[in-house]
Amino acid sequence: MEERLVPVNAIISLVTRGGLNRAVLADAGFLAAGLEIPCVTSDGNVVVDVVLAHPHTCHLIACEAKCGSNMEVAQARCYRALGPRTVVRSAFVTLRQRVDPSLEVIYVAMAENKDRILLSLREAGLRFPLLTIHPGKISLENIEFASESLRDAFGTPLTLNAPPDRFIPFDHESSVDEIEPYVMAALVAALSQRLQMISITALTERAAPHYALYSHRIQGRLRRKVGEAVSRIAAADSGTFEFFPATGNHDGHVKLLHNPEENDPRGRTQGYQRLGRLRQGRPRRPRPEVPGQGSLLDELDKANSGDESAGADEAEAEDTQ
Amino acid sequence: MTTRAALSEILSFDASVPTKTFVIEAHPDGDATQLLRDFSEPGCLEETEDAYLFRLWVPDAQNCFWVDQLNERFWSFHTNMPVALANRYLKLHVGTRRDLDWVWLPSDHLRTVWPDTRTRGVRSKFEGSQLLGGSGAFDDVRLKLNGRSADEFLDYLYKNPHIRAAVPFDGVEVALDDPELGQVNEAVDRMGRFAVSGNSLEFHIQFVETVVSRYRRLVELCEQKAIGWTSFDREVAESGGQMAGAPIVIRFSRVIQDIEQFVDNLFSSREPFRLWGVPRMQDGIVEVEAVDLHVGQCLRIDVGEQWMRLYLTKDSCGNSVARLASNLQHRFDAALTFADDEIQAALKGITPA
Repeated sequence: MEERLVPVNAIISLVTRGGLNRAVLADAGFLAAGLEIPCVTSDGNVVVDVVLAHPHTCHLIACEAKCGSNMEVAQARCYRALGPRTVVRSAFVTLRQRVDPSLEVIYVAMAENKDRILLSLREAGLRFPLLTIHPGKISLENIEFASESLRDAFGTPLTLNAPPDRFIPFDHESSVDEIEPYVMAALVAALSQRLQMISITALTERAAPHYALYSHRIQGRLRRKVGEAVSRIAAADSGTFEFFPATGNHDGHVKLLHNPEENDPRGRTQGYQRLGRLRQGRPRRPRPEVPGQGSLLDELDKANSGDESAGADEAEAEDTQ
Repeated sequence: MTTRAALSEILSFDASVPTKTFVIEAHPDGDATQLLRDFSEPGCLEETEDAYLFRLWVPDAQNCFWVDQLNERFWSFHTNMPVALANRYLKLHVGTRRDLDWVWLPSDHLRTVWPDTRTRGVRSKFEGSQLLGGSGAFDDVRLKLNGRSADEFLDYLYKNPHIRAAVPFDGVEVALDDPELGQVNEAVDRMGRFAVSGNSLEFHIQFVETVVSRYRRLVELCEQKAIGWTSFDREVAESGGQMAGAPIVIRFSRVIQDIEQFVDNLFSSREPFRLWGVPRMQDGIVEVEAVDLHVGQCLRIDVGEQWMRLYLTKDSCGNSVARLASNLQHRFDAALTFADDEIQAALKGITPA
């Protein structure tokens, strides 16, 4: 996963149970109320990356996931001007108790950007806590500005047993190189479904299930990048894919010219393996030869048995690379 | 025209020609009859007096299936024909369609297939050479045990932590006796293929339904945890939306010794996994945007040295997770577990109180 997207994924992971890392904010009672929430403030408009809500205390957390080390002061001032009622309305939060909603803003960033962001916050006079993602832990900085529930959750740094989940593996600011593997997988899925054509919008929705969150403008940027990725894929494998870019009001599309599904089972497997090899940066490792595999006892068994190949598993096609 | 009641006369319960039942998972997209028509060759499908029951002829053979769609998602194909012939016919159709799949029973669903019952035989099959790459104490296990304590021996092996990962239950045969329902001998393997002899079709159907409902719970729980994204109404909000669900995590009881080799084999598009993907490794973690070629759907997967994270998306089929878990039990780790307590209970076949 791109490092710049780790913060937003980390904050979602913290409210998602059942994973490899402890969901400490879910344990504290928070849930993800919304993502990419546009809010209007007296200092301007801001799109909140993630809104967390505690249904019982009506406490809200507006999370700004920093991709890099730059803190945009104008944006930070909008966050400071943000009111809880604005967030409730903008994220359509359901308040289950008749309690005055409260709000705190937190920034989330990678550890290597911590010092610079803390300095920027201090210089701008902003009293926001900062969640910092280290290689093996998440810690809370500016803890004195944090709510009690946040302080309790991060009284000691959270140990990470694995990297944060990849809910959002790429976005409209990702490079085409980053996006291409997801587009390729969506194209292979389309081949597997025996589609003959797929529009760029449909392909984008399949490659990026989180596409629905974005504004029309950002969706357009994402579609353009997906189109660029398709263009590259089609150029590298013109026998399988043909790309037709968008024209006027017409969406671009891809024609699927040759489909592994048209082959017999062995040829089908080889067809998919070929599509994988074209994308693989390194050669696939050959299947291991295990001592004892195809043992002589099996050979002797044939003396007493009929055709054992009628078993459950299909004959496997060989990778012919 | 045939009725459901007539099946007990038509199907053989003779031990020499047992009835076979194959359970197939179907995604009919609204019209189950139409899917069955699409699937069958022209003139090979006959209706019966029962709207959920059909007779499906195998072309160029004097054999047929009785297809019961009463369970709308898991259809039962009953037949007297030889198992190899029946399997070949169904495999051809399931393999070429994206709206049909086998069921993939986890090891524990077979281990505890029916409460307080006498076991007649058990089978364990483990083919670990590809994913273990020779690193396992046991790369390949084939055990077939007959007799009333057959399961005890496999249980004995299962309780040994050194052996547990290599002895999944692959099939089981039990003798059922009920004063009201009758007597049947039932065999079932992990791909939802049943063989029965005895004197009670009702008992057989109840047995199949019990196994299927336990499996269905696992599949549907996975689907409940699937990740979905919903946008707010664009009439009132320029952007934004909500997310629900979580990745499904499998924990392994053994370490993947050579992760490159593991993922190269796992994502090679081959049977039984049929996962396409181009693995990318970063700091010992593998990220793959895979495609489940059984159903033609993307399935994002992360692999660490002792875990696997699956990002099932809403409207994807939970069978993808059940199939992967069952195949991993038979190819890498029979003692794998799910991190989610509910899914783990369903994997073990435990029904909530």
